[in-house]
Formats: sequence, structure tokens, C-alpha cells
Amino acid sequence: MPLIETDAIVLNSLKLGEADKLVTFYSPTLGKIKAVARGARKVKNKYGSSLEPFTHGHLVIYDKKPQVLYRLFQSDIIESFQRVRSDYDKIMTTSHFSLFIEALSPEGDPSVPVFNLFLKLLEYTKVFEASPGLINLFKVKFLGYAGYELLLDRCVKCQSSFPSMRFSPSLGGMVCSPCIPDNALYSVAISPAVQSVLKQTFKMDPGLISRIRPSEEVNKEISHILEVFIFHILGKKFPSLETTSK
Amino acid sequence: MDQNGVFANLIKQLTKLPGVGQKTAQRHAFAILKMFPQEAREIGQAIIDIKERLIFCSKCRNISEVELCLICSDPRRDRTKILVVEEPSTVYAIEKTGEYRGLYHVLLGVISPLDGVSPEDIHIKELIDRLADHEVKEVIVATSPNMDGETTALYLSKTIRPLGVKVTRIALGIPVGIDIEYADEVSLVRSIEGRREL
Repeated sequence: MPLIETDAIVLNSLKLGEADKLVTFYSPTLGKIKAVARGARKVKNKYGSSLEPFTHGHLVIYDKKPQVLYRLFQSDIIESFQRVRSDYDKIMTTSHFSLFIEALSPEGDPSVPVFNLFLKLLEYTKVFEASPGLINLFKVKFLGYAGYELLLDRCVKCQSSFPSMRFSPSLGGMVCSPCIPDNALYSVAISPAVQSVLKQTFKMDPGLISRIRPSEEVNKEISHILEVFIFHILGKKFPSLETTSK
Repeated sequence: MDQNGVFANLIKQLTKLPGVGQKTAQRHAFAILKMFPQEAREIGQAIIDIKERLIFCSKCRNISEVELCLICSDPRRDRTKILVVEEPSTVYAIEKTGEYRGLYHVLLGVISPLDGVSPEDIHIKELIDRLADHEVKEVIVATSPNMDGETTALYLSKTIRPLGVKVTRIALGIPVGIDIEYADEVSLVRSIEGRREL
């Protein structure tokens, strides 16, 4: 039974049995993992508040192969992000992004950039209020890291560059009008302003994303693009930030 | 032993209770077997009674045998205070202390953005309705000190404060009886924030 040490951020936790918790973490070395924390709901437990959502901690876990779930042995807080959990609006926006990462990250597929991206959002939210526009840009950045970067420069089918192209969720990029025969392919229009913001977001360092300030119209358009694209990836509708914050 | 017989069935049914595994259920089943028939009947009847006779109090949503629970109908209770809890089990725990003389409100859940539970899914509207008669001066939020409990407390504060009612939160921090050096950083910070003058 190998013992593994890793840093991780708590994405979510569920009650398990009478006094246990099933905690979902995102680790830079293991990706999204689920671990059982025995006795975590008891008054005198060894984990303290380290299993609260958004906590950045250092874990010691047992890999109980062939079982899918890890067993949590020890958890120490590196940064609690308590300030994020002390504000209703911050809880809502960060929960929404956490659910987004959880939904789109396959288990056991590690990505250091995804881990750092979530950490950057938590550090930003600790001090400032993350607007719905900024959350959208973090989602766009996440898609890039997760292998879903939108191809915006050329038509994904014929590789040519036309001035008026539309976004196809099923192809994950822009398509020109000759490649959309009789409008058979579902596609959405993307304004040049949105294209520019998206390109900038994909290129930019995650720590600098907060400097991009999209207008309300641009943000509305990005929300729609994300909605249709995520629907295509997941095969179901992902709840909007408004729904999470209801 | 017959795996489909009445004894095996009792063991199977008892394992549905929290904290009761196969062995404990077996011990309980043998204990019931040794009882007088009347004692066993009383246990069975008590289980049936809580399912058939208990309802939620129409005012505070605590469990009760009558429409208005004993706490809500007690004229000696302090009607200027309402203590908000997640589940009826918390009312029992607080009542056992004998220190609180106000009223209660049971939400029967907590707001949980990660699990998709919104304010409309729990009994917050009923609490707001209870504040309409202006008799209540303070709402004490006693939800669990975890993220869902905190989210609920923050929402209640945001919603109730504009109505001119004082909203307070139970003290959070270090549990009684532990060595302070073993407390985690969040509990320590909370205990410093919630300090009181001696």
C-alpha cells in the first residue's frame, strides 16, 4: 500500500457513512482524486478544518489499488482561503468555478497549469470580488489547459482564413461559410471583439487574466459560447453562474 | 441459520440503522430474542409511532406530535429570540444543555452551492414570515461551522438584517478540553475573532 504525498486543493466534500467524508481534491501530480477521510465529521478529528472546500493543503494518502478511492492519512493546511469562505458572493463564484473544474477534469489526469489556475483564482478572490466576466475568462483559460483550446484563426475544416467565420461547438473552432453546407452544422457567430479577448486569454499568464476587463456585451457573448461548447463536451447543460448563485 | 427466516430478517433490518453493522445487529437481535414479548412489542410500537405520529411543527419545523410543538406553545419561552438550526437533532442537543430559553427554527437543510441546494430549497421563507410580527429582536444562527453552514449564516444575515432584526452567530473556535497547540489555524483565528471580555 504505497504512501503518497502531494499538495492539493479541496474541490468538494460529501458526507460518507456516519462520521466519514468523501473529499474531492485537485492535485498537481495526481489530478482530480477522491479520498475517504475516516472520522472527519467527529468533534475530535485529526483533519481539523483542512477538508473545507477551497483549502490548499499538503496531503498524505494511501493508494488502495485496485480500489478507486484513496484513503486520506494526513492533511495539513498550506493556505485555508478562509476569507473566500467568509463572503457570500465569493463563495458562490468560487463554488461555480470549482464545480466547473470538477465536471471537466477526468480523474487521475494531472495538470500543473490547471492546479495553478485555480490557486490564482483563489488568491485573487481572497482580496477582490471576482466578476462573472473574470470567471468566464478563467473558464476559457481552463479549457485551453484541459486540451479544449478554441481554434480561432483559421477554419478548422479547410484551414483557410475568411473574414466572416462562425464558431462550431462540435468542431471546437471557427468554420467558414463554405464548410457549413446548408447550415447543417450548428454554429454561433463570434464578434471580432470576443475573438480578440479569447485569443488574449489563451495567450496570457493566468496571474494577469484579471487585467482583461471585457464589456458586458462581450461577456454575454463569451457566456453563450461557453454554454454551447460545454454542452457539447459534457453532453448536458452545465449550470450557469446565476443558477449557482441563486 | 435460515437466511430468509425471521431472525435473519431482523438482523438485515437493524443494519439499516446508522452505526449498526452485521455483528452489532446480531447482538441486538439476540437481546430482543431474550426480552419478554411485551418489551419487544414496545420497541416495535415505538418505531411505528415515530413514523405515524410525528409531524413537523407548523411554526418552527421541529419534530412534534401536535401541530404546534411544545417549545413553540410554551408561554415561558423568550419570544424575542429565535435560534436557527439545520436539523431537529440540534434542537435536542441544545435543549439538553438547559441554557437556552428562546424559540427555535429548523431549516431542514443548509444552502450548498456545491451540491446545488439553494435558499428556496430549505425553510428560510418560513423564518422570514415569523419575523413579520416584530416580536423577535434577535436571530441566533447555529448552523455547522463548515462552508455550507457559513454560506447559510451569511445568507440569513444578508436577508434578515435589513428587516431591523439583530442577527448573531454562535461562537466558533477551539473545543473545550483540548490543548490549544493542537488546534488548526482556522479554528484559532475564529476563536481570536470571537473572543470576549473577562
